[in-house]
Amino acid sequence: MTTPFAEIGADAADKEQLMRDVDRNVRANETAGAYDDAALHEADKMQIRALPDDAEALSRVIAHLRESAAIDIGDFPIVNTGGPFGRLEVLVKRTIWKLMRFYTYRMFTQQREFNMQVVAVLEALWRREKSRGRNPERQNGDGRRAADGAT
Amino acid sequence: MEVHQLTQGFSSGDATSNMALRLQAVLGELGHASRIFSEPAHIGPRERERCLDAREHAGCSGPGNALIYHYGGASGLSDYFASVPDRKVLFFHNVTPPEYFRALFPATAARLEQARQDLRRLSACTDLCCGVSGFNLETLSGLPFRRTMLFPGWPDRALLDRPPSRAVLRQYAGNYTNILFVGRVAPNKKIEDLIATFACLKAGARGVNLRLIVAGTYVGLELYHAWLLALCRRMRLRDVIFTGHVSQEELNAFYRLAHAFLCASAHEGFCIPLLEATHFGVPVFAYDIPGVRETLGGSGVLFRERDFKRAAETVRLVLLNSALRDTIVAGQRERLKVFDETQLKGRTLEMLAKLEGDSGGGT
Repeated sequence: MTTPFAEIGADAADKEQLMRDVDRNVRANETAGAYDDAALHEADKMQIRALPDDAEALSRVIAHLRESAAIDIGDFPIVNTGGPFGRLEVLVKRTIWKLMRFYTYRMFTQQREFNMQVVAVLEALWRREKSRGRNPERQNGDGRRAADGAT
Repeated sequence: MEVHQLTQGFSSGDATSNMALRLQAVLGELGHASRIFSEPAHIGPRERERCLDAREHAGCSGPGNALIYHYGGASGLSDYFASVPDRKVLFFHNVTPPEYFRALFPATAARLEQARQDLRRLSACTDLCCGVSGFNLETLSGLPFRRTMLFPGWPDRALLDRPPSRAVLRQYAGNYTNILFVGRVAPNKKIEDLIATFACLKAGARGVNLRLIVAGTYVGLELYHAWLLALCRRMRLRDVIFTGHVSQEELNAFYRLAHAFLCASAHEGFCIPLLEATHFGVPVFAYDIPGVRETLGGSGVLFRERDFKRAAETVRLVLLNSALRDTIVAGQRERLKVFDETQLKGRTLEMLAKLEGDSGGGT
């Protein structure tokens, strides 16, 4: 008998049936292409213990910064939080948001420009460090280690 | 006998600080004066009344007293602890294996490695070592501690019964199924696995609004936080929320909002949030590791493999089956009964008896 995938702490439950349902549904989802295997592959690639060192991690984080520096000003869903005035609240908030757009647009634009500049500087610094064959994060770490050893 | 405590930091919401406060209360009930001391740089600004500067401990140190040192990593306090004439208790809260930090935080990894040597040195001068789990004590095997005892962490019901933050309840209200994780955003918590499981859950539960809430600080671990944001972006996941540090009232609100507690940690000494979730009637799902298995004690749902798709589908089917969900929560509540106030007092008495037994033997 194979060991079930999950240990379920419930005496009365039909655990074997549940595990059969789990396997069947996963297979059906796979067949239907429900899972984003490319995205799951990304998760696999981003397993920290598999990284050779912090240089690789920093490179990837800086690449991510480049992607996220251009902030999306439409990225704030206004949702109905329930209650008797929930729908009215959503309507009022959406209206206020639209009315304020002329004002917030300018702030967001400035923020976006600033973000892009910071990323550009970070990338330049990182390229320079790599070309020197050094890793700033590692250096900091070694510095601290030395300080720890001295105390 | 006065029984004072030394912590490596003291701040509101911190598990070790909460443990020290509860021990202080129990020791007080048992007639033992107990004050908490810490390194001044690591005492939260609002905590100066509850926690004193470690340098002040010298004024109440003596061979007739005891000092409990809450240990979670290498610290300058270890030298002081080793030097005092008091009877010494090392309260071992666990040290995370350095390999989890090596890639992103090499300096932290180096300090964790140093902790192992630190513990070896301290084991020679400690009268009693308390481990918050059997697994924790196992990790100390090979170190020459004279005596060890199990002293598990306890969820503080008084804190959990505080009214939840209305602002959080309001902010996160709506037609969402909330999957919660509570803990520091640290590499050993494997938040990347949590995110991958959540992605599979979303894929298998079309038409359901799902949200993953990760409630915990990432101060000092910002690079890992950035790493996780990158992962969410690459996986095109928008409903993952990192709350950062939360107050007790906010935490209680997140527990109230949660439909399931999901833990993907790869290393835990003892996992109090699993018991806290139980307090709020939230079913717990976790990947199987020794510290988590010991905390759950056969309750909740444990995944034996890191198979995100099957784990996600198990969560989904349990949440859909209210009878099964209730049975699982009932099992968790039974487990929670083990961690009640009388047990805490009993463990404290046992600890004191071991210390006093030591002093009797020595004279």
